[in-house]
Amino acid sequence: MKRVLKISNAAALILCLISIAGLVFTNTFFLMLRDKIVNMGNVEIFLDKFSIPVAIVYFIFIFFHLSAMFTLILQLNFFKRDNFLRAFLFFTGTVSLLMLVGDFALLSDISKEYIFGMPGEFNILFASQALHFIFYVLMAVLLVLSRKSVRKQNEEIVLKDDSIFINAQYIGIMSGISGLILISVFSFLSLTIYPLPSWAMDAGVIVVSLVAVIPYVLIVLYWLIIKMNERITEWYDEKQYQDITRASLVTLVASVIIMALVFVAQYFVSSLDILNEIWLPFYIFLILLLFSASTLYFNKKGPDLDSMGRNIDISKRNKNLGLAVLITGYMTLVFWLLTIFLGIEIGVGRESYTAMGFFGLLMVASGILFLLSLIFNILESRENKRISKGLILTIVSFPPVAFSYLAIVIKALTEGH
Amino acid sequence: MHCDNYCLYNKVERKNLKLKNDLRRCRFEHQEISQQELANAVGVTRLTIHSIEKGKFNPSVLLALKIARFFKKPIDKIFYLEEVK
Repeated sequence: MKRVLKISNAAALILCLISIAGLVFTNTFFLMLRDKIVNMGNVEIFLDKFSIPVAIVYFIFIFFHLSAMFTLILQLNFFKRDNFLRAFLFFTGTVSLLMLVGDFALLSDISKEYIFGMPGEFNILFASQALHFIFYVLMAVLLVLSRKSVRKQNEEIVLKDDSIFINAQYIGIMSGISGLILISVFSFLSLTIYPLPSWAMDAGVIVVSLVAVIPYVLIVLYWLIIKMNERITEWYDEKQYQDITRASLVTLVASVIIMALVFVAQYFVSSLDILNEIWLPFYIFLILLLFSASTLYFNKKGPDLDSMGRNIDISKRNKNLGLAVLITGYMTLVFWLLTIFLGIEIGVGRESYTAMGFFGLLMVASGILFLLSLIFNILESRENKRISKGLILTIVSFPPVAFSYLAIVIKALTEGH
Repeated sequence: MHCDNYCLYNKVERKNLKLKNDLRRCRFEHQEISQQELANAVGVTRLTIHSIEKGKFNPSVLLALKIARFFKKPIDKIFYLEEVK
């Protein structure tokens, strides 16, 4: 197992570095393609010249994704400890893999529709590229960090594993949040800016929901495969049964309250009418989010507390700082995409300036918080001789923070050209 | 003096009693075994043992007996009630 993991780690790292270079190449190609379309250049010759190299790079991406997912599963088995970064990468890796297939469809649409003007598919394509970028960079970080621990650590004997159980809750939370955001944004756009017929909207909601839920389905399937050898009564231990029972009660009460509030709010806020179209996926993702979050809370509440009074405050503060960087970092990325989207679709106006303002504020806040969190968490990690949770959250936040600052630098350098 | 059920309830049950344990000490006295090793021996997850030690989770009678048997100690030497003020 250890040897297989070492080989798999090394192979995934090599493929990861090649894929990052490949991502630079494909993005250069997409930017050049967009310029050709804007400037009415000869798009066909350009596409003929680059279509095969781009296809080859995409095959490398697919190999890397498969190798990365295999490595993640091996690491989950080897380390026997829950790890937020690993769960986050499992989620983004699966969505990114699905988006690779989506990229092919988008490129095919772009190559057909460019004669009618700038295709809107470019927006989705660049959002997909941002997701690939986040996954590749964080995967490289994880592979480098875990190389040392794989070498040092011997495989621990664990008869009743809880790491998959906790990781499944992490992924459930991510699926729930992304599902709620994706279906809301999709239905809002398809009812306002891009009006779609009813059947197309339903199909779109199904596709978007599947993209968000597939990572959760995969981890649950993996957990079920592992549990196949055990009797159903032994699938959970008694604490897990208790946690699930409490979480079910919380989910029942909270979902009824939230759905009732949404129902009442629909009378006062007309834009909430979109929920009439998507009430089922909205309810499913809400349940998934509430259940996973409450199960995780009840399951982890004990281990998060430290017996030493002083350490509670410092590690809690550092963890909260990391969490703040994570939230502001990814919100910055969302507002950056929103600014570009509004600038292209509606033009420069009140909406795009508002989004730009939020982007600027969040960028400054995320930068300051990132530096503070990095310093405090490195100090804590050095003192305790182990990586703190806040440091992991800070590392996870690095790609969007770096991405937004890089975007501003590139914009400043290329302004007027 | 005669004491009915209600009287007994007032004497015993209405006190704020909490289940405490010496699991951590027992582990160290028992060749310093890890939480994971104890969890493997009694068929639960490491997190469950950790939560019992921290007083965040009360084990079932079955699990408490399994733990006591593992340490070869009477159950009340490991788990006991303590009044919380």
